[in-house]
Amino acid sequence: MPAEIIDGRKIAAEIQVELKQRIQRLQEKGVNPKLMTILVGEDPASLSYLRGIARTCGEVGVLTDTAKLPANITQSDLLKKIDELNKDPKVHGILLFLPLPKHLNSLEAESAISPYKDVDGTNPISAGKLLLGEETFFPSTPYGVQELLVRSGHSPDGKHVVIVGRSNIVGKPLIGILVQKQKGANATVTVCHTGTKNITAITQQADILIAAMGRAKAITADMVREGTVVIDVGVNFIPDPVTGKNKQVGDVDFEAVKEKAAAITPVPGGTGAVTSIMLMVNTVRAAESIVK
Amino acid sequence: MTAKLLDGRKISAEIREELKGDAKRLKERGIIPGLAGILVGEDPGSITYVGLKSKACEEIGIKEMMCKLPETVTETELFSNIERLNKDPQVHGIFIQLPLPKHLSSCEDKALAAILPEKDVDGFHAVNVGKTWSGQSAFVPAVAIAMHEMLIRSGYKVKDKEVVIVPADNLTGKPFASIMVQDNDRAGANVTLCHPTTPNLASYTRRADILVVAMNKPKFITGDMVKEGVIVLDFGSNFIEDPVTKKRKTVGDVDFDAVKEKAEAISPVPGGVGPMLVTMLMASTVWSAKQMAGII
Repeated sequence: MPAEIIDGRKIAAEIQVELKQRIQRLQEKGVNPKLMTILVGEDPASLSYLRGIARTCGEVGVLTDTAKLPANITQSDLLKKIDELNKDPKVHGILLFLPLPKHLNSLEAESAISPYKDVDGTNPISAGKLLLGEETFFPSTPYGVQELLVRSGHSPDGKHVVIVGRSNIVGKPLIGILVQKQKGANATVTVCHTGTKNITAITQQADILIAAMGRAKAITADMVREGTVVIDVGVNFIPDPVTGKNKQVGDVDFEAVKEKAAAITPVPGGTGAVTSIMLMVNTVRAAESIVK
Repeated sequence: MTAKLLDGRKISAEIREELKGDAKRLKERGIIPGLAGILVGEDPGSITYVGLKSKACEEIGIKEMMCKLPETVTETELFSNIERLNKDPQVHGIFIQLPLPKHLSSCEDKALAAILPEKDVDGFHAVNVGKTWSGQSAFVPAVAIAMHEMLIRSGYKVKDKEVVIVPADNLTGKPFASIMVQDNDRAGANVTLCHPTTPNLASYTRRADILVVAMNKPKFITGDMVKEGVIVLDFGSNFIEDPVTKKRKTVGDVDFDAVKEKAEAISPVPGGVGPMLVTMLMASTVWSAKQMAGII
């Protein structure tokens, strides 16, 4: 029997409605949530990401602007810009697009972002706080995974979550989020990876299986127990066998796995659809904490 | 089959010998590793621990620079001392002996966060936690590195093993997970983090090739909760009355008599991980001195 499809776009829309109300309340107090992005150079992937963020900000009602810095900027000038934004009371969130041009010290730049405005959890301190269970902004992709689970009625509380993939961007922060002793977390978390021998024995244990390896269709039906909830964080571009055109697929063999899973996120339209709205959630939260 | 007992005292002594060699070589280059401990007040337990650390420093060749502050010290004075040690180039490692006196207990976290990450030998600072998880070299809490060294030096392979950890705390569980999950020759395990509230916990612990427990509950892990051949790292510390002799003794979290018949190896309590903790703090201090000297 085919799985319930967890609709990322629908959930993003729900979150958007809630955010609009929160923004309105802030505006009544004279606060307009604002996200500043910093773009050094013209990296095409960053430009594309920037366009997506600008669009989401527009839809939600979060102000946004971009500090476009030349690719040959000095470290000192980059840090000055970050410091300026840290001190600007009208800026609530700061997003630094990565990667930076090679001559710059990324770690130093990331560490310079104020933790109060680090809405994508880029500052290395944020990663540490997350794994310590201290209050911090969750990076948008893993935060989106948690929201999808909770809002689709498949909260990880008390469940066995198996994460395949141990990246610094998704897998590891997800461990930090899901082991916390809080509602919407409190899961027993197993993390394995594509090189894991006998991976099927492990993935079959999952109540909730999260695929975040970056390998197209690597999670096959035999790896999934009947009734598992499957969250696909993979974004892979492969040529369509019919049209020859590149299309986006996840890490899960969707057609096969949906016959066994209780619920599954599609790609696209699943986790990807929620990522940018979580950045908005963090920015609004940053603005609200000033008002308190 | 009776489990091999992993001898923490022996491993600790081995590591101390190596550290003596490291300290000697550093001294030849004009560098003496310096460890500064902040001790506030007269708590007997704290005094004992700091005493053990001082002795270890002397044994290895680390300059012990204990900072003894009176029980009545103010928050401002505490922080100015931390700042002073942060700035002192002779200090390579700073630790704060916890707990702090009651009037300062609310600023314990702030005090720990005030230690320069480059000198945070206890590995509590968020910067070091973040770096360790992301696979960078950084300070890690002593319990976790002690357990890792115990496994490696006892000749056990970690790669591809199922490592099950309970609880997922900040002192033991998560730091150990942060080491085990890395993609390198001394790690690469499949790690499961459990809670005491995990439903059907035994179904997870029974899968473990390596089981780590730090619950402080005697007989928390019983014989039926482990599989044959498991390696158990027991960091529980429970002071109980022996039912037979009626004498008080320390036991771990594991039902030792039952589990030893199934396990390949156990770190006993006492005599397992415990004796290694001070040594691993010394190791972190020597490492810090090497880092600051640009040697590694």
